[in-house]
Amino acid sequence: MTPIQRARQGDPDAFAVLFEQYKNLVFKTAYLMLGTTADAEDALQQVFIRVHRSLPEYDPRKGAFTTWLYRVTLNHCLNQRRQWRFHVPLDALIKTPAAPASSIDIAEEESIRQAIRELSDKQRAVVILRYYWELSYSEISDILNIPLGTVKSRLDLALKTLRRALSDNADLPNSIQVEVYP
Amino acid sequence: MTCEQTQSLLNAYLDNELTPSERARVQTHLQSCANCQNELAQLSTLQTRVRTTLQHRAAAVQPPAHAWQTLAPKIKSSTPLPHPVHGGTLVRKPLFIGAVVAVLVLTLIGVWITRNATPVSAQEILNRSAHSQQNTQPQQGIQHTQTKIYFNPHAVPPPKQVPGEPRTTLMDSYRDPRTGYYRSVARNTDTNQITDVNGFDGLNLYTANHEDGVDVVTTVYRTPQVGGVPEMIKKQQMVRSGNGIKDGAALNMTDQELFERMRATSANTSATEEQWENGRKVYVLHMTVTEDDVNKASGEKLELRMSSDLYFDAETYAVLGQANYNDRDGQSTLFYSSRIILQETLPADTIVAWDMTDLTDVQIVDDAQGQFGDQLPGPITADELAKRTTHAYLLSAVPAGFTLTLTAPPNPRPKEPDIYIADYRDADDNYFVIQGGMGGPTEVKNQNDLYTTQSGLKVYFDGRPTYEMPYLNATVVAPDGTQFLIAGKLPLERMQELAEQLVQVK
Repeated sequence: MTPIQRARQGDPDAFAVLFEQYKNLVFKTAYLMLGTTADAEDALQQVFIRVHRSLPEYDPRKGAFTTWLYRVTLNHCLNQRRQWRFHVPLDALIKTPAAPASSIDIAEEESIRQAIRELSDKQRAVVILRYYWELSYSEISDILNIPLGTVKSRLDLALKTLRRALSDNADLPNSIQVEVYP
Repeated sequence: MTCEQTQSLLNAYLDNELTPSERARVQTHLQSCANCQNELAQLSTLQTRVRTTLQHRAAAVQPPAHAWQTLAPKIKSSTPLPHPVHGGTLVRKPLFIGAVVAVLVLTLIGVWITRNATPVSAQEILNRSAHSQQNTQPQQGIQHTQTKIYFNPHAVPPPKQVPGEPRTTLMDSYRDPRTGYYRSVARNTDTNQITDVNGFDGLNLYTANHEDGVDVVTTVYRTPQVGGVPEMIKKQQMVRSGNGIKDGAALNMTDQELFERMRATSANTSATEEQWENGRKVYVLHMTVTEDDVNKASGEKLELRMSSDLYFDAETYAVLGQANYNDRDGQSTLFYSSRIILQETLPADTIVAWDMTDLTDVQIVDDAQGQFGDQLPGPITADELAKRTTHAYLLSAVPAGFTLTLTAPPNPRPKEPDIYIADYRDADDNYFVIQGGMGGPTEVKNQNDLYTTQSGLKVYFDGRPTYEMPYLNATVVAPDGTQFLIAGKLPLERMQELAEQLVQVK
């Protein structure tokens, strides 16, 4: 029996295994959606409490566990963002330093990061599922419960928005070029 | 198709999400429209940047170590009701990007080697991994490894179908790290017939003659090597893996780092424990890989679902084996496995028949001119290379801080004059390698990361560097149809910059 099947029957050890197995999926998705580690940590807890409670409702015949897990995670994030809109201005979000990038242009990465952050929540969700998790359009359509055509148009729109935002930012005087090669 | 219609499909085109007929129409339009080609290139660059940014951001954070301790008490109070479990196979979906990149990288390096520039035994990658300290400490003695390999051609995921019957072979390998000599002989465990031979005795390379559709080897070519023992054979830098075997040394990390990273990075990798043949404890990483491919005959898009178990020694983290499954239609069928069942270091004075004279059931055929067997690459100058072929490319100048090692088969076969390896490397082991001699045009699979140089070279980057796997490789197609590979441990922008400096040798 898989850990999911055992967890569905109430086996606490199996749930711990599930948590270990999928914590990165939830945490990284939430972090990319919400922008701070504090919020991602909170999402990790909330999502797994929700998963634990709803596991009996999950029907493996209707789709993969990960499809369901992405959905629960994104729903949590979208609700979070809705609440924030009334409380916290977006610019107040804390910036987390990125990994030591081997990119030669840190400024460019920062501008992409900002452009992604400024996408609508729905657009950001498809961008993360497609370009971070590398899911197919049909998987994204299952997760978000939207038609394939909508996945495609939403991605198109998101990339157009990103492109526009980046070309607007291109001339910013404070862009720094870091040369890391001999 | 108009430009507007084409451009509305370019994103899905890059994402490989068009129907075959849409795809064909887009391609036809692209061939004759510079404007849309330009649009495609820009979109591709944007996608790459978005990916890189997301990867860098996500790689910078990890779930807190105490997350489970925080969660456990909260869920105790809400135990779910037992629920009847229905049958059915769970389809596991997300990609482990790093692993996929590793597979692509190693497969590509594998392609180089099967293009007979560097005949390193198929098993070397496993052997090397098992002796991962070797690079830091000179080894005393001769390494002996036995590996059991199962292969079921019928279960190989389409379209990679290959002929033959399921078989298990036992590969017996010896290596002397002091000299670089090696020998590897595989036999079918049912019939005891030889299925593969390769080796190096310091003077000759031994290469099995594989006839199409025949598993049994009856002829082995003995090819004299005039170039001496290349450093890379001694250092075992080169890897051969058409089988997607991953190991730490190949990725510049220890096996334990590889294990930890693979376990931690993938959302869908799980680890369990098992007992190995010799009673030792091993960790098993289970991972799922999906790969898009296209059936060349029908143009039908195929989504390959494979899963892979990778076995690590629980103490040393050496990679002990791998099993690949074809997950199709709810069934998981083993199609390849490779398990190291014995590993020992024999005294340095152990006599090993490096020259294969003990093999009575094969005929050793001298191949003085290197026309049949493999050749180790020897040093060559750019002028000499230019005399052989006009299809070789090098950088216009050696980049500052780098040195160039240019090697090629000493006696190129008439049909393959353009095999060479140009290895530009700096003191920190950052490299940019050009491998020529791709033979005829091959299908360029990944259209996602096309970069076109000023001189019109089309550079198709295959896979993307990630924080975990900072490697890049690409197939380069010149306007006259010449193809070659480049690979580098350098960021994309730097690779593109160097690609701009590629010139034909004259």
